[in-house]
Amino acid sequence: MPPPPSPPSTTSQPNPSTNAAADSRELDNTLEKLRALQKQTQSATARPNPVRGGAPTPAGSARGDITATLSADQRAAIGDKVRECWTKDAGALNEDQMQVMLTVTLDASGTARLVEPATSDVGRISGDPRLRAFFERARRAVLDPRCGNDLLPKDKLVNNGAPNRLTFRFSP
Amino acid sequence: MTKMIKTTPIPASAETGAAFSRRGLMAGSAAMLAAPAIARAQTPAPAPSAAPGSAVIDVNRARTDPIPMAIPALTGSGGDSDRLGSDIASVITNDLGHSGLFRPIDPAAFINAGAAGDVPNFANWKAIGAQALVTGKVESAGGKARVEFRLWDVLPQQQIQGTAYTTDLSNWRRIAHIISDVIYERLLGEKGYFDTRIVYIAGTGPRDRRIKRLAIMDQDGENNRFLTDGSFMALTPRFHPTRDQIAFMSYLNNKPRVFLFDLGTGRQQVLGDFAGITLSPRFAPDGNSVIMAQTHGSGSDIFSVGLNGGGTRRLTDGGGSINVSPCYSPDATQIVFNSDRGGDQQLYVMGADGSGVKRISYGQGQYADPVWSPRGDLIAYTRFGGGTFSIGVMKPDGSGERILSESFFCEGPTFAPNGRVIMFYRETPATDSRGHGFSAKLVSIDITGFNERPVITPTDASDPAWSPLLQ
Repeated sequence: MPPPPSPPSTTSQPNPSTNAAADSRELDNTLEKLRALQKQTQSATARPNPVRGGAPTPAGSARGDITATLSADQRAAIGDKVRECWTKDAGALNEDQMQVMLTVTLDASGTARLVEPATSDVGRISGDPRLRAFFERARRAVLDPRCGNDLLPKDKLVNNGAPNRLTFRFSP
Repeated sequence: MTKMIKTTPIPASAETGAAFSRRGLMAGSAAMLAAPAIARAQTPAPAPSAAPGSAVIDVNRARTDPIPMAIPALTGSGGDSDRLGSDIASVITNDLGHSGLFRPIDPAAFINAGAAGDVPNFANWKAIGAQALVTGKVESAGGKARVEFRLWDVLPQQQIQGTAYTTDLSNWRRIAHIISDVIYERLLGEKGYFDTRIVYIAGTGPRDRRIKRLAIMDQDGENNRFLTDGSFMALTPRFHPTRDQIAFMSYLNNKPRVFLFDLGTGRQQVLGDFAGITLSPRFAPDGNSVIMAQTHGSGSDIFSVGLNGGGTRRLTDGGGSINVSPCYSPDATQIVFNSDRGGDQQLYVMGADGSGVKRISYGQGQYADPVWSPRGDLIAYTRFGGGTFSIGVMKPDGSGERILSESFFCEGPTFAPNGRVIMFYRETPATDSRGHGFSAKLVSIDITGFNERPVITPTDASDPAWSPLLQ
């Protein structure tokens, strides 16, 4: 008895290619199709990307920065916590004159997730390897799980849809 | 000193970039700081303060603490390359660990070190407290080696450096030192000092018939070799700033004179033709001249001697006082030297043309052996007083004096080319008339006064001089 016929292949192409024939215009055709697929058929939903942090929030802080909403004691407590992980290179040239401002973005649990130099410091840091090393030490201090987790209790976070940010000033 | 090492930058892993794009919050910092471009060092511009009325969280009073880092063995491709990967990691670990600025984590603590080329499992490295991670791989064939390494900042999960080197297998130690220098510079913002050599005076035999030979080794004590045979005494060697040459004081034929030793050919030639004794030579920063002292009568003065046919110029006129041990500032505009013109040995600074002499040392005791830091901020010296010798540093105006190390006898400070470490030698006293108990050893210490370490040499050692970074 002959074996039953094989089931149809599941890997074969179900529809024949419309560009089966060898054609120097094959690539052009493909690009044309891709362009057609990407053609905008609906009104734009994109909006301008605001300056980092966006407009002032209802909490009254510019660019999502909630530092000003904290009391002096709360700011000092956060500074004390991060200081535990703040180290310096004591022999670096002009180390005692270095200072960087950081913008730290918190996640929903109040833990530091993203550390960036403040806009005013970006140029200085990119142009000075020593200052870049100083900034990176500061970033490690904030991102260190011993010091950057739960920087703020959840009830201190401002829930307005914008990321919560803190501004730090690191000096030796 | 030709490097014969091909260097290839390795871009940040594409996989890393993808990982960050998924991480949303992390993407911004990754994109901004991934480029490892290093601009020329400069004095930091004044930091802008926070806008009036704006709130900030101040973090200050930092601790001095080494950066914890993980340096697993570089992955080999089988055969010799496996051992090479392990050896290179070991040299890097020693270099960085001995600097006192990094704390290599014991490999026994590693959790699944992973394969080279992959994006590391950052959680595993974070769990053991590593803040920086070095990964890499080694391929070797036909006597050549290709060594690739990547430096990762663990907490922000970024590759911050990636470089590959291709060279002869025999150069593997230099590759390891070069990688150490790259890591040092990337994490601290200052040049490293690991791909360098030390020339020194090797001492053997009884104290009253001491044989003193010129010797050279890598800064970590490896590859030691003797340059002279001991038939004459050699003292105070100094590296040429750009050429494979050493100036030193030779007692060839029992006549003390300054010689130039060519490391490539072994050729020695006397430097200058002076009536008196010439001593304590040092090259000018551009290498085109040497300053040294020349005795006359009971005193000595400082001269600049041009190389390659340059003339001789007298820079001091001490009127019978002793003026010795001159050393240029790195910008060659000033010279620090040691003089007894005020009654006892003190340090003085003058212009490169000999003008404007002013005393800078005012502490207790006498001062000698001044040497200007290559980065210009400090002058190191030997001080003796109160029955002990000390190695110290002060600013070029004489302020900020700090003693780094004290002992029965120590002298001969020399700076690493980045100005962060000083090497000197220390002697222990003999316990009997035959010299038993005496020893002379090299010691290194950080300019902050911490991290003093012995430098291992096969014989007694003195008069160290640190080379520039090799080319």
